[in-house]
Amino acid sequence: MGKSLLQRRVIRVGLPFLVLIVGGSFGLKEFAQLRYDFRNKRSVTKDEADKIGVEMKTAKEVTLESEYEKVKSIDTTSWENIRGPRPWEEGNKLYEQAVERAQSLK
Amino acid sequence: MASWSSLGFQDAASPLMEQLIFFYDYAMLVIILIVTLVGYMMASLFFNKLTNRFLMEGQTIEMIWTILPALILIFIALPSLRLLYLLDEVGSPEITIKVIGHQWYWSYEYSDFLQVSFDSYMLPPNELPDNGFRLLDVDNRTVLPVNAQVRVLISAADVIHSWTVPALGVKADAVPGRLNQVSFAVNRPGLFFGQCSEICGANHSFMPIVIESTSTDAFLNWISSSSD
Repeated sequence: MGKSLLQRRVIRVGLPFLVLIVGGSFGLKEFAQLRYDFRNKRSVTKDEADKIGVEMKTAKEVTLESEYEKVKSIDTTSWENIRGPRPWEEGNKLYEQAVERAQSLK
Repeated sequence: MASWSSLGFQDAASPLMEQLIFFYDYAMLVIILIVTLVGYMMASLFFNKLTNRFLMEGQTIEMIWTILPALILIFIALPSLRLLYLLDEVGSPEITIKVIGHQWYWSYEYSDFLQVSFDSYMLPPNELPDNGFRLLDVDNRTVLPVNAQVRVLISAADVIHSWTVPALGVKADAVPGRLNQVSFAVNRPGLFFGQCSEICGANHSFMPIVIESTSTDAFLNWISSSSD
C-alpha cells in the first residue's frame, strides 16, 4: 500500500473503464433515442388533416365509450333468416341485387 | 397474400403479426426437437439387444424425465405470456374506425372524420375484372395510413360475424350489442384481405374484408374525396 493513488492499478485501469462505460451510455443515448422518436411519431394528426383541408375530431371526442353509445342505438332484432339458392344459381335475389350494384359502379 | 396450396402464414404486415410468427417459429423448433428426440429413442429400440429382466427402479432417470419437460414448458410459456400481454396493449391510437357486420356485408365508419362511412360488398365473380381476386375483392376498400396506430371497434347489426385480416394478425368477433376493440399498425403499403370468420347465414363465405394501406397524404386525400 505504499503506492500513490495514481499509481494503483485500480485507479489507472478502473477509472478510465468506468468513465468509458458510464460516459459511453450517455453518448449512446443520442443514437438510441432514434428508436423512441420514431415510435412516438404520429403521422395522422389534426395539423396534417388541416393542411389537406379535412376536418378531424380530437382524440378526446372519439373514445371507446362514445362509440359504444352510438352502437347501442343500432337495431339488432329486425333481421330475416334468409335461406336460398347459392349466388350463382337461379332465383337468388341477393345475387341479382349485387350484380346491379356492381354495374351501377361502372 | 393467401393463395391456393399455401401452407404457412401470410407475410406479416404489422409488428404484432411479426411477433406472432417469431413465436410460432420458436415453438415449432422446440416441438421438432422433442419429436426428433423421442422418435430417435423409439427407433433405436428396434436395434437394441440389451435386456434387463430384473429392472426395478431408476430414480435418476425419473428425475430427469420429469424436470426436463417442466423446463421445456417454462421455456415455451415465458415468450408466450410476453406475446399475450403485448397483444393486449393499447397504444394511443391515431385513428379509429368502426366496423359493423351485417348480413352479408361490412359497413365502415371513420369516427375521427366527419361523414366518412360506406358499405363494403363482395364483387360478384362475373363482375370481377380479369385481374381481380375471386371471392376476395370488394367494391369499397378500407383505406388506412401506413405506420399509424389504428384502433378498430367492431360490432354487428344482426347476427354474430367476425372481422379478421390474417396478414395483420387481427381477428375479433362482431357481436350485436357489444363493441370489441383491436389495435394494430400496418407497416407496409399494400392490399390485405380477410374473410368473415363466424358463420352468419347463407352468404357467410361471401363477405370479405380488404384493407388498402397507403401514405398519409394519399389517405387524407381519399378521406376528403370520400366525405364529399
